[in-house]
Formats: sequence, C-alpha cells, structure tokens
Amino acid sequence: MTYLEDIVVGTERSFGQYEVTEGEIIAFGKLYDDQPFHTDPEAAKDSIYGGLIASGWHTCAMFMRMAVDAQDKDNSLAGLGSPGFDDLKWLLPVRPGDTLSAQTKILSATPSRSKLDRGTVRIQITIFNQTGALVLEMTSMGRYLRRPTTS
Amino acid sequence: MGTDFTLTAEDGHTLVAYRANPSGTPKGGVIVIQEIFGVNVHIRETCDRFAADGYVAIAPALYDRTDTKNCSLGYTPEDIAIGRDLKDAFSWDLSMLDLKAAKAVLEGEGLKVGTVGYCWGGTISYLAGTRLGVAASVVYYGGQIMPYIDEKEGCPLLMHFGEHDKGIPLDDVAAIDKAHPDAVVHIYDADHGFNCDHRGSYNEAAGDLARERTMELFAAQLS
Repeated sequence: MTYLEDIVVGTERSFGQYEVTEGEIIAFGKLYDDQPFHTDPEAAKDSIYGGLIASGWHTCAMFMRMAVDAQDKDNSLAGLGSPGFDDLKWLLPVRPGDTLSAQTKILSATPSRSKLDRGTVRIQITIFNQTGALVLEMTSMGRYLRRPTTS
Repeated sequence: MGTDFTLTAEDGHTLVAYRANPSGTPKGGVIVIQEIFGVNVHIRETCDRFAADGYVAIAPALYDRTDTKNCSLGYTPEDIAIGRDLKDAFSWDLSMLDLKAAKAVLEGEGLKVGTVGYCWGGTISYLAGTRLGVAASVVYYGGQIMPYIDEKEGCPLLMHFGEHDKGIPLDDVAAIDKAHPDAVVHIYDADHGFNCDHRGSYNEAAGDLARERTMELFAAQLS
C-alpha cells in the first residue's frame, strides 16, 4: 500500500500508448461534445481544424484510461480521489491515427494542516502524440492517506 | 523532461529520436546532431537546454542504422573506440535521410529548422546546411568537412573550432573559412569537444561564448 509518505517528489513516469480512432472520436463527440468538428468528418474539413479532431474532454478521458491501466495492481495507492486540477491546457489538436502517451512528474506531496490523516500530491501531467509534440498539459491534485501510526 | 518517439525516414528505416519541448509557443525547431556517442545523457541535456530557451529540440538516434540500437555511450577511452567503429558503419547520405525526417516533423508544426552538431555531428550539420535546405546550420568542431569543402551552404553557417584541436588542423579551418566567405567561423582557445560538460576538454568560457553566438543565429534565422 502506497501512502503519502511513500510518494517521492520528483518521481517521473512514462506510460501508455493510446491509439486514437475516428470511430471513438465520433462516439465520444456524439455523447458529450456534439460539435461538427468532433462528430462529422466531412463538416470538419471546413472547420478551422481542417479535419476531425478529438474533443479536449476525450483527450482527458484517454489520459485517465492510460493512468488507470498503468497503476501497479500489486501495490495499490491509499488514495482518496482528487479535488480537481489547477490548470488544463489543450495545446494541439488530436486527430484520428494519433498515438498518445503520457508522462507524470510528482511536484509536491504535502500533509494536510487541518486533517492529520491525509495530504495532497500535485502531479504535472503531459500528453504527447507520436511525434513527441505536446498535446495536453495539466497540474492535477490527488489526496492520499498518511501512513497509519501504530500506537 | 523530454520524450522518445519514433521517426520514419524516406527509405522506410525507423529510428528513435529524443524530443524536448519548450513551454509556450516555440521560437523554432532545432535538430541536435549527436557526437559519436549516441543520443546519450549529454545530448538529451543539450536538447533540454534548447527547449528551456524556447525551441523544440529533436535529437535523432543516427546509430539506429547500426546493430547498436538506442546507443548511449559515455566518454571513456572504451566508449571512444566503440563510437568510432559505429560512426564508420554507414554513410552521410543515410544520416541525411534521418535528419530529413526530423525536419519534416518540425516543419509540419510550422517551425523553421536549424541544425547544430558536435564533432562527428558537426560534419553532419555542415552537410545539412549544404544539402537539406535548413534555415541555419551550426557546426561545433566538425572534423570531416574537408572532402566536402566545395559544397555551398544554402543558409547562414556558423562554425566553432578549438585552437588546440589536434584532429582539426588550423590550416583546414582557414581553408573552410576561405571557401565559405559568408560563413562565420570562430576559433576558441580550447580543445576538441569544448562544449561538452561531460568531457575533460570542457571549457566553460568557450562553451558559453559559442552558445551565445549560436542562440543569436537561431533567434535571427528561425523566428
């Protein structure tokens, strides 16, 4: 079990190879972001993007899939979820045929001043496409339990 | 922290390349051309430094054309011997194809592309300037330029040589300078490899000055 104290600031991880498909872009778009450049390849050609692109929220969801798949099943995290993120940037369009990969870096791991059994970890997340270009950057937060003391 | 990705050259060869991205809008693209030691820690750090200065930097693993994929050597005498064998294993033309693939990625993102190469990579950067249509070419102590001295560069060419470099006679430097009247050639009170802070020949003053001049050229030509 990984607790707050086990999380080392500066730790970097690379993971994931997510293949972005036209079908998935359209399916997500129709459900959650029904704008023509996310759902209609023909109409998308006339858009400012010149072709179908994934919704930014879809890109976030693809990251989440990669992150969960990359979790160490043998050593679970004493996590309490996330209160959100500080910033989120969609830097480049994500297109059918792209392959996305992710990197994370632990920026800080700080015990809570008000709740003594937990703390907050800040994580820098970057997503690259297959040419190493940055498509998404965000700074997310995760809450973790502190290691229980035996008394 | 940069990332490794795969480039595909025109002849179908695939190679790994290291890429470092700047924060914010890039000022341009720089192809960092390795010494004889592969895309090692020093070359990655060099890319990171260009990224910190606002450029997308890509270092193609030119040695992926040999049997030694993902080659990353240090600077010991053993590493030097291995590196020398590897560099002789294939042709300049093949390296040009690999650079061309990196150039296409950067230009596809709307960036002007410059090259910077160190020792063996210095010669390759010179050839990129004469053959590949890049916007700027920077050469650090390239030692095999003489056979190609009559090639004409298609872009501003900046060259840095060490006065005490036993592998590159000053007469050769003078000849290269004369053959390229528009090129800017600097000679530093330093030895071969003076830019590399992992090597004994590292010379901070020369390295800093050469870098300053390199960044000035990139700022002028890649924006």
